Amino acid sequence: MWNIKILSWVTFLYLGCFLLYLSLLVFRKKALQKIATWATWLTLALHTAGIILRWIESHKMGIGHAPFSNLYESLIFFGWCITFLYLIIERKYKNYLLGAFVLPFSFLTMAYASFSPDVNSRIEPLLPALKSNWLIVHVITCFLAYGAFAVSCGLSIVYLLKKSESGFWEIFPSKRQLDELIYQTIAFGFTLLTIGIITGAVWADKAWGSYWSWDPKETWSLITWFIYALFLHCRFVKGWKEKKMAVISIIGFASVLFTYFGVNFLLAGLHSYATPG
Amino acid sequence: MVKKIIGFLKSVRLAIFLLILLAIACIIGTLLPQNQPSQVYVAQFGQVGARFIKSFCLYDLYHAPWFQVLLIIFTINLLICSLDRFPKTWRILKHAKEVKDKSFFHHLPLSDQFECNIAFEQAKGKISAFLKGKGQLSKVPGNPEHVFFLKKGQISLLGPYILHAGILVILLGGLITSMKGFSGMMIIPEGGRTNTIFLQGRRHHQVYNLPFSLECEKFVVEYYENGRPKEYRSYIKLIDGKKTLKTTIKVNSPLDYKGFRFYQASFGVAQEPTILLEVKDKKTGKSFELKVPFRKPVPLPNKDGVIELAQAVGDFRNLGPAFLLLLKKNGGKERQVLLFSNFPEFDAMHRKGSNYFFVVKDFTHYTGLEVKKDPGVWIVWAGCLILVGGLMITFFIVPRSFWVMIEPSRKGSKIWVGGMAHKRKQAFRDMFEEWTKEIKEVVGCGT
Repeated sequence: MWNIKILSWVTFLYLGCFLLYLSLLVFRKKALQKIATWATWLTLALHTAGIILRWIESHKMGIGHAPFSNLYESLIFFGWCITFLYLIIERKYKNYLLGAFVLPFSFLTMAYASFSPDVNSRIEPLLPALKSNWLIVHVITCFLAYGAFAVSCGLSIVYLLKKSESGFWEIFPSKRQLDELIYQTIAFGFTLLTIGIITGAVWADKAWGSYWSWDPKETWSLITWFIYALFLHCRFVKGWKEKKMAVISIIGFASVLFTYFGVNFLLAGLHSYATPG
Repeated sequence: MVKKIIGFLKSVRLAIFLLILLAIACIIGTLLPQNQPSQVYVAQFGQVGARFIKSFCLYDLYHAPWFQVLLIIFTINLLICSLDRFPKTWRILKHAKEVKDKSFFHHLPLSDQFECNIAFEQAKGKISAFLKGKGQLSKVPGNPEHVFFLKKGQISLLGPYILHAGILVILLGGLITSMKGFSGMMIIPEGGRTNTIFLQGRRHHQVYNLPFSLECEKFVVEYYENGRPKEYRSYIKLIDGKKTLKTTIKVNSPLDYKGFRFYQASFGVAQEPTILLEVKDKKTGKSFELKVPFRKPVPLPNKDGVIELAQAVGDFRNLGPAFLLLLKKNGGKERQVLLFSNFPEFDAMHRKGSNYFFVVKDFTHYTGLEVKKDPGVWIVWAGCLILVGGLMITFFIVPRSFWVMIEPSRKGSKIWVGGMAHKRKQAFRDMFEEWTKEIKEVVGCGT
């Protein structure tokens, strides 16, 4: 299966991209920044090609479906979302040093997908409950949201690490800018998470006969939604410093991770498609 | 006192506190197994723990009275908090500030001033053209004509109210679902017809009779090559008075009729099934098919005896559908034959000393349809649309106001610029600086 091979190369390429951004952080050379950005765009292109190829190959096997149906495929798409959103932000805000804090997330998700023995990478036919056009919308919105939250988590870590506006941290965006960037990515992620939960509800209403059944996955996505709603309201309360908000953003991402992995591994429910094996 | 309570109910602090409480409650609900018999809790948490769980309704947390109270307070808080803040927002939206003189600019969060040697009238024309290229200029009564006011994306200020209204509509829909909605199961054997629904949930042990009936013409399961199920399909004929409607119900494609929704939910062996047997002659290797109805002896193909279906079980010890047949050869003793539809080889391997062996080719299925009536669902969807619309308006439209004032001066013209944004202030600051720079270029005034 070519798609699996390509996607495992992509994993290593992300490691390479991360190292490029890391050396950019150390050496601060303009040329290095160009190389790192270009390498990441090219890796993302190859990543996209791998996903599309997987789609095509599934059709060749006669069980064609969008590659968003199990843990492996969702991890691959998660990695794609993180990288894509990072590159967009890099382009828009022209700050190239954050890559060293975001690309590790892309690499780790891809590595987990490609090399963990728990994750089955075969293309499997769809179960009757998954056969729906809502699959594509639901998965894309949810994972773009997860990707945005991953990026905001990386930014929050930079925010907390940044002790002063001078010295090593000087060339990073100012704390003010970081705070606004975190807010922006979370606003984007929150909107998409909301759409993701809603499309999930519409789908559940069609497939399971109820738009909300307190299934652990549903409930955890709601918990995540509560935490980010909390984040968005903190600005209206006096005395909640930006530092506290960076912490909430990191807690929010931990909740995203639990919604994604914890629920699959630890809690039984209707949403068991993405369980390993 | 009343004022204090209202003050508390409308605070954002309460909203934050409630969000934290709701999140914690939901976490407990996912970690603690829900709706288990009480012995399970006793075994896991001991007598004291189980009593604690029982007294706080933690075994059915999402329907516990205290959880509902939490939701009600949340709703009230959302409503009062929004209503409390709305007039202020509306004022900002409706009333533009009058610009009397240059002191106005000193009070704005962003402002700048510069002098250029360009004639007053010329500067006015150029700046007016520049601003018109950026958006619609607003007229404020009372402003002198050498003051320009540009506002954009003001609707964004209404976003939070719209999205909060969306959440309230969703909660209303949920309330209607839980009060007026119901769901149940309908079991229809192939060839059978019924209008009876066995209700689930709060009204279980009750039945509901539909004003029309459903007939299951056939039920089909398809499998992939790897043995996993591919599709469950019920061919349904709906009979409503003189009208009939033929349709198929599949997973993910329910049938909607007169406010009821029918889902493919389960299937199994019908209560008194007819089975289709493949009878294989061990010697000649010939095989033929034989239809065996429930408890009606059927002569064997060679007319050397009869066979009867005595019992059918939907799932025998987790091995799937099983059938007990009685085989009676002419003049011989009656023998029992056990057949499993999932294991076609079973009879050939287990029953010795017979000329025939049997394979179950097919049997009468029943289809289990979940039936739902939910008048709240459309309200929920409407609320969702409002919520998403509100989020988009809130987050992706930036409200900003931009003022320019020009006055003739000795050198030529004196120009004041000022701006204000209610959020995304950093992005607005960048835009403000950019526009100021552009205006300086337009009037030919280097920095």
